Amino acid sequence: MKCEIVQEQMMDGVTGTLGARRMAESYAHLRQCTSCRERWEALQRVESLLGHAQLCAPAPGFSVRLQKRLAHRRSTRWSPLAIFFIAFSTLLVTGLVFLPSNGIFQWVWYQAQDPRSLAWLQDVLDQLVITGRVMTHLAGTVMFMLFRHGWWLPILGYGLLAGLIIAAWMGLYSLTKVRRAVMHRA
Amino acid sequence: MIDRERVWVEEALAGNEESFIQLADAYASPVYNLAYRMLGNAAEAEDAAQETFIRVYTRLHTYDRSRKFSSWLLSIASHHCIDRLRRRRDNAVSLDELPPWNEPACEGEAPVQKVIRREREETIRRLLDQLPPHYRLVMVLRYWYDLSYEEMAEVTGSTVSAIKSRLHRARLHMAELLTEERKRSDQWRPVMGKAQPVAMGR
Repeated sequence: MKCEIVQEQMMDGVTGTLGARRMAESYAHLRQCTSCRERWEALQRVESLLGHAQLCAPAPGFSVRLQKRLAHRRSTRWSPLAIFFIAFSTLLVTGLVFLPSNGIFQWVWYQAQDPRSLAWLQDVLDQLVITGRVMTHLAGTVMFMLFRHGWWLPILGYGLLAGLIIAAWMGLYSLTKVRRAVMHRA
Repeated sequence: MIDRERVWVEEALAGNEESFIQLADAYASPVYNLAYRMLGNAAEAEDAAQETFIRVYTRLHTYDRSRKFSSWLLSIASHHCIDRLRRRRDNAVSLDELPPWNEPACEGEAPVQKVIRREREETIRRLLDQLPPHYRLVMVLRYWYDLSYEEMAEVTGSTVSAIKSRLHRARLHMAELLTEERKRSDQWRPVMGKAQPVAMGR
């Protein structure tokens, strides 16, 4: 019998799942081959060492400590609703700070000055891109936080965010229209 | 046990923390032992076991009732321990910096038996520490929990063939380590034998 075959069968032999005939064949090989015998003996030593291994228990009072830790975790954990409101208001405030600096007011003023100019279209696209970038970065960060607290919060958050953006643009659009009408009349 | 376990799980899902604590009490030893064998020290094992139960508590609603609760629990514990070992490796914490290994206590044990057990535990710890985490995990699941290949595959999230080969390699690795240790101790024995009379003569 070859060494490779015997070594393959050793695991079953050590755990006692090898058939009697194969076991006898392996033993015959082990009597002649020193390296296989050494490996077999080493595996048996591992088996006997770990075969007597005991399950160890934690120090007494494990469940009491766990209960305290659970209570502490609960008290320090923020409620999902609080996280949502803080995140959303941060988003809103940041949006309000960012939008004017990105030229929304300048754009409205420009529209009021020269409503016939076609350059406003370029400005609208620029604004959309800039606002989109800012909102995506913020929303990404916020949603990452919210996803840890269930699926409904991100969906609600995204819905509200989309609503806010649409409302902001509709507001700006109507403001420009009113301004244009005033200018036209004037 | 399984019926009681189901009741505890259902009650814990309904918000009864007492039932969850009972469940944790029933599984404290298996989870702690797994953490202890994987991480190699009592303080970290206690922390890992508690963290495992907290994760179980927060994810209990995701537990698939067609699975064995113990397998699901051990799966969370083993993933947590492997994460810790990975972090430890990333932070390059030396084994000397860790608190000492506390061997399991057995009450009413004779002093000789205690010494033998302590030596055995120390050898096991040394050998397990030298195994890569994935080998260590299969060895622990096989020898302390007596899990079948299928159960080990479920706990570790691997295939049965992967588990078989991992266990095979882990045993061989451990056998080699044990042989090396024996050779080393055989080398030292005569030197220590010679040193003794000199020390006695003083």
